[in-house]
Amino acid sequence: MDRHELIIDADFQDLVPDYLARRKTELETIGERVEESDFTYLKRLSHDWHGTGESYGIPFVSEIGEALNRAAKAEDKATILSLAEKLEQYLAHLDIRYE
Amino acid sequence: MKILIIDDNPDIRNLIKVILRPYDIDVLLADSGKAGFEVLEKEDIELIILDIIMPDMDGFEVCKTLKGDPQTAEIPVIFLSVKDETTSLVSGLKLGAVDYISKPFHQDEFIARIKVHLALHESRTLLRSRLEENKQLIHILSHDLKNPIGCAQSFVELMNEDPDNTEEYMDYIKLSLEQGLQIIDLVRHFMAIKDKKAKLELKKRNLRQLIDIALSIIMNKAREKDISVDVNVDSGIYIEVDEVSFINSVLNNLMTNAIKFSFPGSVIEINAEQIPGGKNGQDPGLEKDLIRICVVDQGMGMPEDIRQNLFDLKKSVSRSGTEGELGTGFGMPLVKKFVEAYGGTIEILSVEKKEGRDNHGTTAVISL
Repeated sequence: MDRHELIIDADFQDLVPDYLARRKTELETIGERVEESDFTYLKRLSHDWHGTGESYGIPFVSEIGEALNRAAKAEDKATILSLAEKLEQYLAHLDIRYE
Repeated sequence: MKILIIDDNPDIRNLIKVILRPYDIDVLLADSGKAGFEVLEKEDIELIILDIIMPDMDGFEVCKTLKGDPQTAEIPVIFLSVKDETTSLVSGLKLGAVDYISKPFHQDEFIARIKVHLALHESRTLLRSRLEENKQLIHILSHDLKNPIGCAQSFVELMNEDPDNTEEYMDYIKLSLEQGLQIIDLVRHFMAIKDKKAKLELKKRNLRQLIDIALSIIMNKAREKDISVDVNVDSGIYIEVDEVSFINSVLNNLMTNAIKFSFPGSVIEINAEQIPGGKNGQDPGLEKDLIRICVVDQGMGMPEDIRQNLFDLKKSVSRSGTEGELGTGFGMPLVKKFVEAYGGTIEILSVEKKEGRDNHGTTAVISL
């Protein structure tokens, strides 16, 4: 898979690594939450992703968050898992440069 | 300038803190409505950024509570919401929020909106404070005009009782009315100074002469209470003041208060001393001579809480005198404004009358 390169405002340099680490931890819990049909948690989680990703300079997190929120409301487990997988792959291949 | 962010999401709180770092804004953070109210109890907040979806108490509930409390009702609130919440936002704005910012937001838009609302809040606060000040000035005006008008009225009564001295009384009436007109001019002048259109014209004046003029207006009140006024002021002392305000507002208010709170038959002292300053002066810390004027009464004194708030227009309270005389409580804030306009300071020392205490009374000390 190709690498994704993002240029992010240097002011956010101290924030972004923690932000991404939290998303990775959350992604690890998604499978379990889908298994438990915990759509309340998934709606809340996707809502937060949607509301923050672009502001941190990572629009893909917001895009996935928006789509995942719709899937969580529709209780569409397959789409939720597919979107989570997409984000996981994206983050695994993300290179960030701060300017 | 302090703003409060209420959002349960640490990613948003941290981000806003970083975005606003370059600006002269103190950003306080709260992760819930409850935590936000705790911050508001301790801090003077000028703007609140409030998330809508939060556990326990959502943003709408928080906003409703804020707007229902007079202590926080005037603080502008900006909602933070993700784009699909905009429909419910309309009802949220009806609760009193001034704006909303959609998440995810862009840094530049976020800063621009915050700046607009902080500027608007500042203008509103200034306007409110000016309105309040003007309201207080009207009270002060009525308070200070009462003395010359009352004085003229007393002399009219004396003219009826003692028609042989009509000419002398007429001079006093004329003087009192002139003082009244001067006060009106003074307030116009004061308002112009407030609006930075004019400056008080400070001139060297003989202190003893100014005190004598002020006494001529006020002495009737002292006589009515059998109070004598002992003036210990050297005729060689000069002060740099605006004559009209010094006589009609500063001295008049200080003496009126001294008479009002003195017991019948007591003595009021007006003392002044000149402390040489400059290179050859007694006090090397003084750049120029210091004139210290004291109005000392042996009256009822005042409790400490009243003394502390005496110059605060908003907290100032009127108290009845020893003979039930009424007042507005607005005289002393005006005195302070004028003394400061002359470049001086005023201090009040007071010992409240209590059983077994003989040294009660109040001393007003003006340093120019």
